[in-house]
Amino acid sequence: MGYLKRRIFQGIGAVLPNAYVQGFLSASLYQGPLKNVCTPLLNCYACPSALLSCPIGTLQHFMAIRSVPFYAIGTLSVVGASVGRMTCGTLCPFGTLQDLLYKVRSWKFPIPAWARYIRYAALVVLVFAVPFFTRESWFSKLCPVGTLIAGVPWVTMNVGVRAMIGALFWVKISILLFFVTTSTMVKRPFCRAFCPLGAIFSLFNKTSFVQLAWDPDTCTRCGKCQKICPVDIRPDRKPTDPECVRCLDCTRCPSLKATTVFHRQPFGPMIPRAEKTPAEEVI
Amino acid sequence: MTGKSDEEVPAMKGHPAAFLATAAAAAGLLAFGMYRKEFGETLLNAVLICLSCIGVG
Repeated sequence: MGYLKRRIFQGIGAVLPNAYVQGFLSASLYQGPLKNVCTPLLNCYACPSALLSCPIGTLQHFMAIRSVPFYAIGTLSVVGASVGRMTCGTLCPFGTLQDLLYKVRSWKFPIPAWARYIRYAALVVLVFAVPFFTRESWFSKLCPVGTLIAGVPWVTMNVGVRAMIGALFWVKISILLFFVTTSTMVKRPFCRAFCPLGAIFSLFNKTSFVQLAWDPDTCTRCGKCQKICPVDIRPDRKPTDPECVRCLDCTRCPSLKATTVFHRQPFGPMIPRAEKTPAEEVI
Repeated sequence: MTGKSDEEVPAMKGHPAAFLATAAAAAGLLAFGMYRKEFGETLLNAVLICLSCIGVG
């Protein structure tokens, strides 16, 4: 997928789920039937302009009322089985923000490989276990996305909410600032190390309908796919990597392409390999 | 550059059978959730302002 095309998709992913502009004008929440639907993005439903439900908030709520969230898990599973983590790479607004922040000139660091396991711990502990036992949504209490698109707007707009500010709000602001700062130095730190939604979708990368294909014959192992990868992986080594957010940036290289689990090209007509340009000339 | 056709590009590790099983299970979960009318509970939860998300409760 081209750079511009992905940015357009990311713009749509940021605007469409937050299209209820009236919420900001009247300091209210959308309460219509679209809130039945769990968005496959980490998009806070407490945002005044949110049209859809946050899947992680919904999972926590069902845990808190001690009920199995078949509907939310089913929604996420259908999306995951179709495209794996593609919504993380092409639609998620917080992923977009991190992509843009990484363009800021600063020191750049890799993230340790073990950090990926933190997001599975966050999923099991903060989304499932702790809400089940305490009946409180503990991931939401720490979520930087909620702080950014719900906490800050509500505190700015509403005097009553502002009067309720306590230590938790400043903890959330600190977490948000931490991820904003580290995003300038590390590629997508929140997605890779902390996002429970990414943890769920990453379970589907191996078996999802959309897959990455790699051609060892045309690959020169130049490593440029890793340089342009927003999560810093080598798709030529493991195209089904759970880390892969299926942004398809790496398909600019002729040795990588989007395909399906049935080995057919999902988007557009097939381009014969002979017509493609070597990676060194493209990237 | 080898000039190979796309059909000759090596298959990736996705297994059609695993995909079909996953997709069927996912659709089953979603259908069962809808049968239990869980979207109503989802709506009820989402239309109330989440103080945890804002950071004040």
